[in-house]
Amino acid sequence: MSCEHAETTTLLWLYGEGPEDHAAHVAECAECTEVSALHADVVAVLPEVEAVPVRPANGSAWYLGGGLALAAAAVLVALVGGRPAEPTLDTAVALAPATTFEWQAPLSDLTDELDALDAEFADLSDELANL
Amino acid sequence: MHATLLDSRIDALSPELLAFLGRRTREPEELMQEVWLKVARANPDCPDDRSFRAYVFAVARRQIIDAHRRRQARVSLVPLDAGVREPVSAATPDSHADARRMLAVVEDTLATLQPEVVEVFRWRTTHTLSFKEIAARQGVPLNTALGRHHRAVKAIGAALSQAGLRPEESR
Repeated sequence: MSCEHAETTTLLWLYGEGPEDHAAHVAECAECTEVSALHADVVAVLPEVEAVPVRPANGSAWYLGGGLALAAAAVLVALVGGRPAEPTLDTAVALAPATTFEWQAPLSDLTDELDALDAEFADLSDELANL
Repeated sequence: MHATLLDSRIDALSPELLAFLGRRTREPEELMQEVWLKVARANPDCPDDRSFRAYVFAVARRQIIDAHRRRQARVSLVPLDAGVREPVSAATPDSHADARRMLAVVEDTLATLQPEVVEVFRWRTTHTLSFKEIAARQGVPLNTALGRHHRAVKAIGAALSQAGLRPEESR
């Protein structure tokens, strides 16, 4: 390798970890172009897995959406010693980010609470007026 | 670059770019829009059509990897056999068989590599770990992690080429 970026900055840039303006260098550098072509071609043939949302239900169980009945065969992901599981490509397992945001209370509950606060405010206003 | 010049260059290159992406992804139109958006935002200083083309294809290759990364970030606990999608050349009847051949080539190649090299490759392509995080987990400098990943990709690329499964070269 004669270009100092070919296996460093160019790889970082390719995988979204390098400076955006590095594209200009890659376009002008034959070696970096070759490296980027290789990586794009290899990543392009890696297996694609249907994206199925997975999130905790009721804080404990996991369920699979998307109507995939075959998901019953879902692979268990083991975390050993804080290191990520090592999936093989034929199971293509990735850890789903369990960061689903859910409302803590329905909006009707909030409306009731606001009504109660309004009533309390009206009472306090009356008391203030009577002082 | 002047807006009309950029527009005319985009128009001229779109069919070739679409074909390039179509050989490598399932969503070529969507990716092409992303590429043009990036190119338009960057507005690169390309003196001629040739340098503009090189720039566009550099961005396109990055978008291919980025698209894979985005998919992996939302993927869940689904065995490949249950969820594998048709490969990029879905129009051909042998496409599914090709996908399995590709997978076999990838796995066979990985089986010949050193465990620490395979580890980086798997972590970077099936998890959302960055190279920095991988380097930290392996307790090695960033450049070592990058080198390991590149070694794995080089070996897989060579094996795919040998098996006639690498998308045809196009700059």
